[in-house]
Amino acid sequence: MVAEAVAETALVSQEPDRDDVFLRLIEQFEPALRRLAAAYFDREADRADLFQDIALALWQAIPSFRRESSERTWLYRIAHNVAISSSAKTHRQAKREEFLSEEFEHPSAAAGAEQGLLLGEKRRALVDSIRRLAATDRQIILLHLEGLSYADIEEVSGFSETAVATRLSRIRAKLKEEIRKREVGKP
Amino acid sequence: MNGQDELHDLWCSQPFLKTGRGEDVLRLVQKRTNRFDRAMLVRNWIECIAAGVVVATFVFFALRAEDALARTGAFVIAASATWIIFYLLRYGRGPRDVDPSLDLRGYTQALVHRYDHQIKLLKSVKYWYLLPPYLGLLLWSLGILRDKARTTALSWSDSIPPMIYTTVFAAIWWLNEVYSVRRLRQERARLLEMTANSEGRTK
Repeated sequence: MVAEAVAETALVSQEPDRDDVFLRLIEQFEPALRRLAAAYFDREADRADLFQDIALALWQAIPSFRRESSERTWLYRIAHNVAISSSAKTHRQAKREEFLSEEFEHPSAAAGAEQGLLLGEKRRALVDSIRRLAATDRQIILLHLEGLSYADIEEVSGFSETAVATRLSRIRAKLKEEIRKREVGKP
Repeated sequence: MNGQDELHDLWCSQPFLKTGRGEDVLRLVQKRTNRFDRAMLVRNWIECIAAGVVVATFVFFALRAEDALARTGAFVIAASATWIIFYLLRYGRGPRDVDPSLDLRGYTQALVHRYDHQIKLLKSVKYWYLLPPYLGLLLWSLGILRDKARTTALSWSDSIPPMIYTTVFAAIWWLNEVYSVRRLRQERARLLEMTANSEGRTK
């Protein structure tokens, strides 16, 4: 979080080359953008396409960035908007089996096999539950999970901080309940 | 589950198989942009050249036509093709991309507006894109048939060309007004459904 904020200040304090800005943004936010893609699509190929679409939109938008908002909120706005329009176009059916085999198949060796499996199962439950949320709720929880403040979430989503807090409380409870259900083996 | 940050930790611990270098992503993005620009340019020039050939051919036919109906039809086709060239040169890049840095509400509204515009445009294609050259072809064919009928008897095979181009025009109309409009309406509905829950917005 702190490193991101420092890098962000450096980015907006000068007029760097478009390619340099893009490279720094991608290097800084690629994991977050890939996680975002995972929250919209289950298939690896779709996620890779979405990541590319977001990267393309970012690259095209860099020259018109007005610095009226922070670079991080600007980036997340672009990423979520592209993800929403992309999933409205694609509308693929969930393919649970492919998802299971493609992702989370390498539990951390350090954590031990059993713990790794348990962690993998929890992650699967979390991502699954997030994918089932309405787009607006999904946007809010994803921004929250990426560490944005309520004020930043308001800037990205257009929801007031109060509305964000209310929704987050409800969404978090829902996600925890889904994960708990999965842990105890309920459908 | 317990603890404020457990969801965050769980979320951020996702492993990803594909994490390319920034330079690779940049190259990919630049390649995609260049490829798109080149594809649009090539497509527009091919269509312009084809339309130019149509203009030249039908002006030539019009000047040589004995029958007034055939001459009028050929001029209508040439005029329609000229209009298509103008349209491609003026609007050939398609609609402007919606600014993705808007907030979700603004972005959704802009996308819906663009969907509505595209649907309206596709539904009007028959009037400004298909009907003029089709009517021109009909007039030209009728003129040629009338001219031919003055010297020889017409046979059923004379109706084949009009049937072929009528089928082609009908297929283009169906692709635009039925298939594409249906697809755009579905996308528009999905977008609205996805973003419907907007209670508590400040903007």
